Amino acid sequence: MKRGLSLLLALMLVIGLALPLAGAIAEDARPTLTVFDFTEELDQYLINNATTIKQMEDDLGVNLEIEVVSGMSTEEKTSTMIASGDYADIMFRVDERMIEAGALLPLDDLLESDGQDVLAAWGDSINKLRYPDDGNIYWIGSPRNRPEEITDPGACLMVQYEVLDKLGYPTIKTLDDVYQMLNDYLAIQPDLNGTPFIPWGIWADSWGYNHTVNNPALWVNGFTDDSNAYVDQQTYDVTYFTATDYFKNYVSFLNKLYLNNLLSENAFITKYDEFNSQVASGRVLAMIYNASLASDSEAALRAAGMPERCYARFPILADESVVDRSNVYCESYDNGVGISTSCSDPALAMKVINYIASLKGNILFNWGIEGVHYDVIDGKRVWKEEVAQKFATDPNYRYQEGIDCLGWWPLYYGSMKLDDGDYACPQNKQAFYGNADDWTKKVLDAYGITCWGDNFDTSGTPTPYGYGWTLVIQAGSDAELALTKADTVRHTEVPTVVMSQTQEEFDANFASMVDKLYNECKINLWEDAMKQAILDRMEIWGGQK
Amino acid sequence: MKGKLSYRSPSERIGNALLYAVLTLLGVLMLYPFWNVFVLALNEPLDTLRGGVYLWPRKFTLDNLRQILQMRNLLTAFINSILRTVIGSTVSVFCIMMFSYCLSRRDFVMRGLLQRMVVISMYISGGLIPYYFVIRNLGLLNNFLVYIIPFMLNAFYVLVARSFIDQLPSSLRESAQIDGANDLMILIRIIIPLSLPIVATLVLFTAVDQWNSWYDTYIYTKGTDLTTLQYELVKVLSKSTASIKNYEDVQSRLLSGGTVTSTPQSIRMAITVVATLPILCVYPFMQRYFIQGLTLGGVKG
Amino acid sequence: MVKRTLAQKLWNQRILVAMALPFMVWMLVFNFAPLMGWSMAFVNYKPRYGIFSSEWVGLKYFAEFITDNRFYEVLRNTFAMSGLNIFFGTFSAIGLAVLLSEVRSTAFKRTIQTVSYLPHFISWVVVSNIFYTFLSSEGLFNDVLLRLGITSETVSYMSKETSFWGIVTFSQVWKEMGWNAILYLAAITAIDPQLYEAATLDGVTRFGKIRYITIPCIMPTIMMLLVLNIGNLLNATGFDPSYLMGNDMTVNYSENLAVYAYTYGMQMSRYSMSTALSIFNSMFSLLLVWSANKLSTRFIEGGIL
Repeated sequence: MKRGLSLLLALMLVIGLALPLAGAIAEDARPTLTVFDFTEELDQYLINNATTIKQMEDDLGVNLEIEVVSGMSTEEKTSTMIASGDYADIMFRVDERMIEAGALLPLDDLLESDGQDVLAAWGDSINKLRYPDDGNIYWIGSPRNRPEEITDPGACLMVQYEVLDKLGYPTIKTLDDVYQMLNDYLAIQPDLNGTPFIPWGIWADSWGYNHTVNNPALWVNGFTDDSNAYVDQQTYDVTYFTATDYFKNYVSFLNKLYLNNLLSENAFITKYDEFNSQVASGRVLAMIYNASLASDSEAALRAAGMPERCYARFPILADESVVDRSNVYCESYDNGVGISTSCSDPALAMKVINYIASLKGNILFNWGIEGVHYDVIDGKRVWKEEVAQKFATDPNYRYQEGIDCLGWWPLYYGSMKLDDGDYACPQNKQAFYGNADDWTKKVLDAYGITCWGDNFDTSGTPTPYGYGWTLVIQAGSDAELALTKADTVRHTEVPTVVMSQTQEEFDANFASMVDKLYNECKINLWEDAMKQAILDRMEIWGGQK
Repeated sequence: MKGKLSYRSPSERIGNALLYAVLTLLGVLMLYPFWNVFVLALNEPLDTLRGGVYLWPRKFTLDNLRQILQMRNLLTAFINSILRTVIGSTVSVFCIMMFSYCLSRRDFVMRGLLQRMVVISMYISGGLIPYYFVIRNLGLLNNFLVYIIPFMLNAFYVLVARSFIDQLPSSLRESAQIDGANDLMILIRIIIPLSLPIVATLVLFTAVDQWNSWYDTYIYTKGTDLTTLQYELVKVLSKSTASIKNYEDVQSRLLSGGTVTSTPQSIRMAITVVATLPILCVYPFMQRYFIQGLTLGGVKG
Repeated sequence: MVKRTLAQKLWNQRILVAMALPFMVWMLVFNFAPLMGWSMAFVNYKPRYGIFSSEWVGLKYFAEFITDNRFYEVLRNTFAMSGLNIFFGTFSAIGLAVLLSEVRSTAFKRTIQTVSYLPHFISWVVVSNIFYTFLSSEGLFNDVLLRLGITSETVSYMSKETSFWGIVTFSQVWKEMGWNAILYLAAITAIDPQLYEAATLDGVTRFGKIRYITIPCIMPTIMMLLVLNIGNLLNATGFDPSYLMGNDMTVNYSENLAVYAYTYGMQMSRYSMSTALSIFNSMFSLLLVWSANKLSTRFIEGGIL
């Protein structure tokens, strides 16, 4: 026992001495920049040695040390970083907190001198990155200032193929259509081999509430994602969305579902894991949700041999007069990559960012290296067979190569086109229909479309201030406190409202909730702060500051 | 030790039967969930998602474990974990025993003061940021010693150990003192050998504390050379959506090219298994110190 | 007795002092030095400016939670859950240790003991999952009750406020019973076997041995752990069980101090608020432990501490 221990210690000593020595030998005379990346998807070891990162290092003559700060408790790690002032040179996914902490350099001058590609890519949209308080640019986000063709929508109504099939592919447009459809289907098929269905899917724990309870009320009324706010488009007065009649109408829809046994009493205590299980078991007939969040469950359904229980995506409206704007892109940014005040060579750091944002960088980090990962066929980029294969089967491949895994880097994603006319990203519209399974094809054909995105109009009117949820309320302020309290209230009161038995009860419960919001939580403080934030933002975006 | 009753009275028989029954029931209650975790770790992720897997893997696979064992820096992490557990635990136990011996001496001048300090320290905390500064100013950031020195004492264990030492007859110490032994020798030659149950307990507790600890790796190191097994595992776990704080976080990901993927439940279960297995293997060695002395003819020390 | 000065006494016990001094320094550095951070609670702390340059707000944050109605609800929940946890936890751990010590078969004893502490290693995320599944409308619990005819319809227990305290206590006891028993088991091991032999010769029953030997011998340990646990009353049920086992419908009964501090402190980056609550927590805990210790002097001379 003792000998084994001392042997182990000796071994560790040797390794401990050897490692830094090895590092010292390998290091060339390149300048080194330290990088913090606040995401958890990246694997620190893989990314530091990734092919594309190495390529960038060679092209620029720089050595990058990337530290991936995991998603857990970033709050605490960030606070120690700020308190001690130990920042890395380049930091990804920073937001207004870092600005308030005085950690970031203003980038305007650096952009002028070394950030030509960034400016070219962004054009006027660069104003949307300005910090309202002083009008400086502190971070560069992922640009979305080009038109995008949606293949698969985000927020939408999801209905099982099987349900549509059995009912002869009806047109589903409004909430009433949904209600009718559920009743009709259950009349034909009351349960799934003895297990009861969950006709309407909801999970209301923490952020699930936004996706399944709050936001559907936005979509059906033709609003874009202002999250907690209802904004009057003329005066920019803000009302807490939960207190509005729009929300009340949607909740009465849920109430109707509940009273007709289409909404389970457990809906409001369902947590994320359980919900995914429910969806993956094929029991959830329909829901309003964000389709990308259900992809794991759909994969499980297909793997279990139940592809007919996957979901079709439609827009959903309260009634025929509303125009759907659920997938209209309102360009606004809430985080990006910044250069810290403790950086020894800001110009070099800006060169790195510039490289990433340039055409070359976009191709490198989305597609790979020509000849190695992709070929140009008929003027269009196509991944090589074996590369595409590896992406589909090996979860580590993308991190090893550093391709298509760098979320939050200032790259173009999705079905946007780059300056050379080709797509930014391999997953695009053309591939969708070809890659779809038989059931998906069947349903798509029945509705006369080639992909779900065809159902959605992305060219509608965006708001002049972008997305409401990206607006910043000062941390630690009374407005923020009011919002937190209101959030608690709505989590506890909305279930009660939904489960009211009579119309009088419903009205009374709703009124009491609104009362609490204004009197106990003082949500009007938040409303005022939001309005001010909107006005500030519009001023900056107009380029007036 | 012979000479005990060679037959059991009926009441004793019933008592025994009841005893075994209750304990078995308890055992099943404790074991089943862990067994379930083990089973899920060996089940395919997509299948686990559908629920309903209880006693046996429905679709057996070793992929989950393979995925974990393929983590790049597993070897470094493992070595670091072993080192910190062995070294840290040894240092801690020795320090705790030494300190609690001092506290058990009723005639010790500083006893009252130290005792109060220990108790108070259990309930007060200055918060993360001040503690971070202490660590930083001591030069312990990115240093292996950050795993050892802050763990040296644990107020609760000190009090527990002191309580045990209190029960040892003071005559032993006094006679040793008369023979000319100083306190250090008394501690090493007499107290510790007689306190094997508590020493074993402390070894177990401190070892588990060290083994499970990941937060210090996260906050005080860069997570490369000094990474620990638990930290690597928790990093994988943190890909789970349990780390998402709020709605803005989700939207931010979806719109910035990030993803919202959840660590499959199977992987989480596999992690629990991998993280726990080493402790489960070590514990049986410690166990004999608890068992001894209870069976007939157990010898103390 | 010749009166000795402090210095002389210290010199006489110099080896002890030498042994204890490093640890005193350790405590000063790692436990007491960080307390300087308590000043954060009296300023509007912004990490950018550090503690001393942040704006002084005095008792603002203390006033905030003292005047918050929700705070008292949260305290009530905390007392209830922690109290139940300590009460049942202590008894069950002692009970298990005693039962285990009575078992003759070493193999059985070792197996059961090993199995008993397994739940300690399962994280609360997994445990809450288990309980949700078990107690859901379609879960095993409802199933069994229905079959046995005890209930006539399914009840979703996790969504009922009134059952939350019971459920969370049960889950905590289940999770920690085996682990907590380890200490008591070690204490039982240290009992002189000769006492048992003597008792046997006197014809004491098995039950009597437990009552007159085992329990009294480990009483100092029991009392000390109890006092320390009472001091920990505000923290006994931590963040995880409350947050993970609770949900929107039970939040009025499930939210405890740890969750409250997180929601209104850390999560909103309000470090000052976190610190203020932490100070409250510390002061209150010290008060509790002091009172518990005073109370224990009635049972054991000199108190525990």
